Amino acid sequence: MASTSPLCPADRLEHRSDLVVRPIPEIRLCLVYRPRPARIVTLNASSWLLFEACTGASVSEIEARVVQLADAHDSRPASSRAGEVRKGLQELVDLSIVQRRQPTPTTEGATS
Amino acid sequence: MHPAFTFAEASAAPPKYSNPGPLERPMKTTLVITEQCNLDCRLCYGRCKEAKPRPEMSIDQWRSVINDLAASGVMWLYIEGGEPFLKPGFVELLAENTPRMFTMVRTHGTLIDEALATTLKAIDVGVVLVDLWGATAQTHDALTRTPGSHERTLAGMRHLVDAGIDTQALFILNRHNVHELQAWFDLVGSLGTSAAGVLRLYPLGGVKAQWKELALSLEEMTAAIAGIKVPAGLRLMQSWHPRNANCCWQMSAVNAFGDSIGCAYLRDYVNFGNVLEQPFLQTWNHPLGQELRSGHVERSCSSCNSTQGSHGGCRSTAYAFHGRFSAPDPFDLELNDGVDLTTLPR
Repeated sequence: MASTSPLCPADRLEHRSDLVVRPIPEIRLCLVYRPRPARIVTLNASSWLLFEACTGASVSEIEARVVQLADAHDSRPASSRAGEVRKGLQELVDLSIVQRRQPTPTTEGATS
Repeated sequence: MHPAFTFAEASAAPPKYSNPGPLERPMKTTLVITEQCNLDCRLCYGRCKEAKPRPEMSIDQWRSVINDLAASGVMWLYIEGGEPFLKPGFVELLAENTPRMFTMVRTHGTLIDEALATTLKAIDVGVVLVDLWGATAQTHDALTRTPGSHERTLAGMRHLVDAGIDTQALFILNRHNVHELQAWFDLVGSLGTSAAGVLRLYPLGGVKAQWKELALSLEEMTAAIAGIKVPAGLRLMQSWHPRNANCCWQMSAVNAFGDSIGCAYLRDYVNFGNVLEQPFLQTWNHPLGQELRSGHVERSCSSCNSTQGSHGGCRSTAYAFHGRFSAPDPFDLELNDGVDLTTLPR
């Protein structure tokens, strides 16, 4: 697993565009095939949840959403849970199935 | 690769499945792409040198079958032979499918030169598994009945590793190579392969008739596995107790003639129908296929269940020795029940 630079709260995350995703809900797993270079990643239910959340939202937005989802069932401090979410997201980025969304260049900033 | 993160389980801790599935659709398929081979192996499960009553599927037919598999949910192909690289058009077929499917190719490596290895890397093949059955040419070439094959296989492995391909070595453990097992590990460790697999011998194809001469006892196999010192950087793959899986729950397979056979190791026992005549999913839903995937077995080894999440061990060897698909796998230490693995039942 390649180590990438640590995520920042403002980083927006999205799936790589060339992935083949095969949910297997009957065994609570999701297989993700990343073709270049070829690799299969097996996501457990938790990692799958994080993976699904990476649709352009920021790291802090995903943390907040997932922590809230688990609020009723987890007595640990929210900061501790958020830290785990961050680590999980970082893993997905390091596995190169999730990437930081590049900011769209604006016309005002563009040079010819 | 399983990411270690387990956070959201706090919301509803999932039951630890002890019997995976049943899968609604297949995810992984073995393709026995050809039974043609340029070696003459004593360990051949495919009867490669025998005349065939039917023609093998053409590459165009395979193309249709793989499209059907993809539509059925398959995204992982394990391709073997015979020798896959003898099949005309195989590399092109592989290249067409690597963008949508993880691919593993099993070969004896004698046809892999620098150019082919470079191509395989360029098309993003996932893993190449190479059968090498001895540390010495004397042992390997006797098992392949092809002088020079050891040297050519080693050359192929070096080309694969040099090209940066994940290369794994396979060793079918038998009476004629068990004495070289450690030397073999040292050899493949020095080549730069990522993993080394020690496989059991299956009573299939041409091996059946030589079983008495080739097979080891369970005690001999267990001792050999226990004695392995795995070189640093090399991953050991082995499926003996306590890691004896019943893989049927996740497997499917199609042979060179289009027969849907569940698993390549079930090739002599099972035929769910021909995919040239019916959609693959129809064969997948064959009652025997469903039964094999269910994990309904007479006994289970708790150690293997805890490591593999499945029950009863390999269904092929269970059937070969007991004649029942639900029987215990006699290759499992806890399920052997005194079965002598050196003698096949009549």
